[in-house]
Amino acid sequence: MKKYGSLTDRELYVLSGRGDELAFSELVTRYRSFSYGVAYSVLRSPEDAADAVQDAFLRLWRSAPRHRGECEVKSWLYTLSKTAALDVLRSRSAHAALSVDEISEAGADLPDVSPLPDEEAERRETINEVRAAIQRLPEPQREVVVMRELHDMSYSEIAKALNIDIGTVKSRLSRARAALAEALRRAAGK
Amino acid sequence: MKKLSCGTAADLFDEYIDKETPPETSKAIEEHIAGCPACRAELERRAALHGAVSGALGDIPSPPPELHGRIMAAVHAEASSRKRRMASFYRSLAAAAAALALFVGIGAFAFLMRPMMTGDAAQEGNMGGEGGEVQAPDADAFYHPENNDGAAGGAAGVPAEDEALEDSDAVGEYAELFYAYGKGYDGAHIIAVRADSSDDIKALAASFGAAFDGRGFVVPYTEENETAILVWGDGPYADADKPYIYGDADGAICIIVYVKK
Repeated sequence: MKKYGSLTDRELYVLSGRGDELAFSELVTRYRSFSYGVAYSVLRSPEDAADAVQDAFLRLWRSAPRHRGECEVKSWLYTLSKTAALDVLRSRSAHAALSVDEISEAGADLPDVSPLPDEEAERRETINEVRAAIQRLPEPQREVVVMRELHDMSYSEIAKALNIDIGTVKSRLSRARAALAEALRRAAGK
Repeated sequence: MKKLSCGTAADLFDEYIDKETPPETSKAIEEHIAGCPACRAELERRAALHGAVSGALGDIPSPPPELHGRIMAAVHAEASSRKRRMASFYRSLAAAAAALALFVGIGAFAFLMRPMMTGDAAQEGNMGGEGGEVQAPDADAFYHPENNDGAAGGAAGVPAEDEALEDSDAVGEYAELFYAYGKGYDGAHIIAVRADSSDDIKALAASFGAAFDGRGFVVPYTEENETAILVWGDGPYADADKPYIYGDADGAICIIVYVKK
């Protein structure tokens, strides 16, 4: 009998759909860090991120019996993790009044870094410049940049998660990087 | 792959840094930058931008070590709840099917007795005659593999001349249930699944939390002392006294699960 570790994501997910908890456990092993990263990037709270990850994996488990072998598990889990994180965000009383758009903005918000003296201050200033430039990107471009650079997702995984073609992923990344490069050039010329 | 121009190479740099270029393209890019300092500098500039963006987005902390166990505990609770619901559903299904099987059995019996009723025997009052009691056919006789291939053998198979009835999956399933009841089981359920190899059967056993012993596997139910026994047979109806799996040319298999309290 095959070891679970040697099975593909799809094989594990099919077995999960038949109620195989050990197969699902292998998927949790493979992707809990990924799911946690997606949730944490939205929530910026370890406790809330853990809650969202648990919820995302439960949703993944529940949807497994309906799996027909056509979806990429990682892409599907990205969607579930982000949805679960946004649900947690909505449930926070402090954010109860935020609209969906505002939540999206908040989700992509990045912590500010206080300036420090000398080289460290300069490095942090550069980081803040890049972050500000990322924040200014149109949401579709910012999303693919975060998926690629923060969550290390392939073009194919991004395309499937967002239900767009790979060409669109490439063009959004290309435009985003050109804008970021230009922003950095301007910042360096100040 | 032919040599790249500076423009073509530059267009591929981001994909190259993202490790999205095919091996032959990556090789062509590396050959190009080896002989083109300007493109090498451009590639380094792009790589620095990728690094700056990645660095600016920050690091994601590791998930807490107990998260895996926490997720699986929640999944296990969900799975246990699902199994309880399914067991309850199957009991309801078995009860409904038993009633229908009895109905179908009586109907089939009446159908088979029709010649007798229309012939001399019926005129002589043999059907529902002196005893006045209609008995359900013997379960073995009602649905037995040899009787289901259209052959006339057997005292009381599904009537070969009634093709619609013979081809009906529903009749087959209810007859199967009837057969199970006749054998003293409390029910049976037919599960259609797909398997391409014995490894799939092993995986299926594992999915039930059971160990495959080379012939079959037992699935223990924990609720109300109910036990479902699933045994993998050697072929279609190889051993009619035991549950079995049979398959078709497409690899589809049908598992008969007999349930006994």
